Amino acid sequence: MLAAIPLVLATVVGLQQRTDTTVAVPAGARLEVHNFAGTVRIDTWDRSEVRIKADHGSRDRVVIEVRGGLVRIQAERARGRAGAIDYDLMIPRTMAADIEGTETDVVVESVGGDLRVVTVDGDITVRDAGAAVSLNSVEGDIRLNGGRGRIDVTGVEGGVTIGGARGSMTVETIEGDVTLDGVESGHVDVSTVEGDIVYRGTVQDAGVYRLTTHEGDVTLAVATPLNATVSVSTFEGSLEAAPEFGLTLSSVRRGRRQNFVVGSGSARIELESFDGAIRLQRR
Amino acid sequence: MANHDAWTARLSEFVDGEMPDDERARCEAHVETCAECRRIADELIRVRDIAADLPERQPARDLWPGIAARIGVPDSRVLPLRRRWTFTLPQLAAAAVLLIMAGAAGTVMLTRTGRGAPAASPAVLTAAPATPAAFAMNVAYNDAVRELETVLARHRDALDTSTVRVLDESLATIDRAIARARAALATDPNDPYLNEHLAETMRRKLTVMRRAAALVSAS
Repeated sequence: MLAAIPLVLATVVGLQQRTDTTVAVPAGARLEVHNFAGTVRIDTWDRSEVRIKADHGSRDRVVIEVRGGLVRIQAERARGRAGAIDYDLMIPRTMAADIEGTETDVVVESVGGDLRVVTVDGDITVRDAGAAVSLNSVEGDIRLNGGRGRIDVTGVEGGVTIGGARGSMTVETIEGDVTLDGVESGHVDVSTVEGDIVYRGTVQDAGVYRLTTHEGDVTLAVATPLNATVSVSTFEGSLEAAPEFGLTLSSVRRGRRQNFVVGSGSARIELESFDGAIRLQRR
Repeated sequence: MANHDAWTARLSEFVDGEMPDDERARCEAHVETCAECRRIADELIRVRDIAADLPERQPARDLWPGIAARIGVPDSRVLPLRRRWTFTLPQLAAAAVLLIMAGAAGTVMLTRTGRGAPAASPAVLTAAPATPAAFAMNVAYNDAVRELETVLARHRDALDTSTVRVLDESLATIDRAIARARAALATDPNDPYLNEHLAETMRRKLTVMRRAAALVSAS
């Protein structure tokens, strides 16, 4: 009778197990991770190997496939969907990674290859991305600190924070606020419906910067001197510009869109808020 | 300023190469020095080029019969396919939404047929009449939204309740923004910003619905 108790407990609570294995991968290989719930943490090292540590229930089995240039990691259960799994992965520094989850938080450090993360109900945190980055969450917050390649971020409810990034970037949310801090990019396109947008960064000559929201405020904080053609559009909002910029009105279109030239006017800045405040501040 | 407005209104002719040479030279000179006109011209060229790449075939789903019935026009005329797309400024904004709809239709088909199945030809208005283009585009947009709404309503149980709540709230937020943009536009129908803002917000709604449909198909 007593001997049967551990077996019953294992069945009821699904005892935790750890998978810990390392596989060799060819140069240029790509990683795919599918995880329904839990966390995926990825860090990099200078080996041509992927180490997979996973904490999971005893009824779940982690399946690792290495086929040509693809390493695919997912879990399976004899019946039904696998439970929550916490992955801790080490991958080659230049490996590209593609992570999909549902109720999954994702943390990625120093990945040098292209990175794509899609999760429904989870936060995404990425530090020091070396190539193109595509991050997508419906309910979670998205944070990116340091990015040198192209950046595409799509959220719905959560906020987006990007710091110290240099690549061309496109950010789109519905309800979340967007904060770009310490950005050095020649192409920035941010749009949201209800959120506020804050951009603190550089404006490069011939760069293009587009910040648009419906209900939120837009704040552009940049250093002077500024050389840009600034287009400001609003229906019922307002414009507040620091006097240092010396905005010179070049044209007005029925009060909805006003164009200004600052310095040589070489960069293009478009600031739009249907009924929020638009602020041009000195950084 | 009046000169600027006059050139802005004729950018479609400029892009289509339908301007007399002397006017074309003057318009070109204006576009080179006007950031706003340059941006609009770039957008027109982009829309024209994308439209030119659409396949030379009848759409799988001709929206015109439904439109014709609703506006009381007999559906007996034969219209040749036109490869040249000309837009007024307000129509340009709607055209941008229309191009997004091609993807929306594809998403609906993907959800219906399962992953990996080839998507059907998107619903495009290549056989629709030139007028009233803006109305037709609006009807086509509403059709695309209704299709996606039907898909999502049928499969919403596949998504977590909190995800459904977030998507519902976000779509409601977008709908409020669309309603406000429409109301503003009613007071100033030719304002470029209001037209673009409405089109952008409508496009965003389709994008969110497509993402939701993709989530459903992945569940």
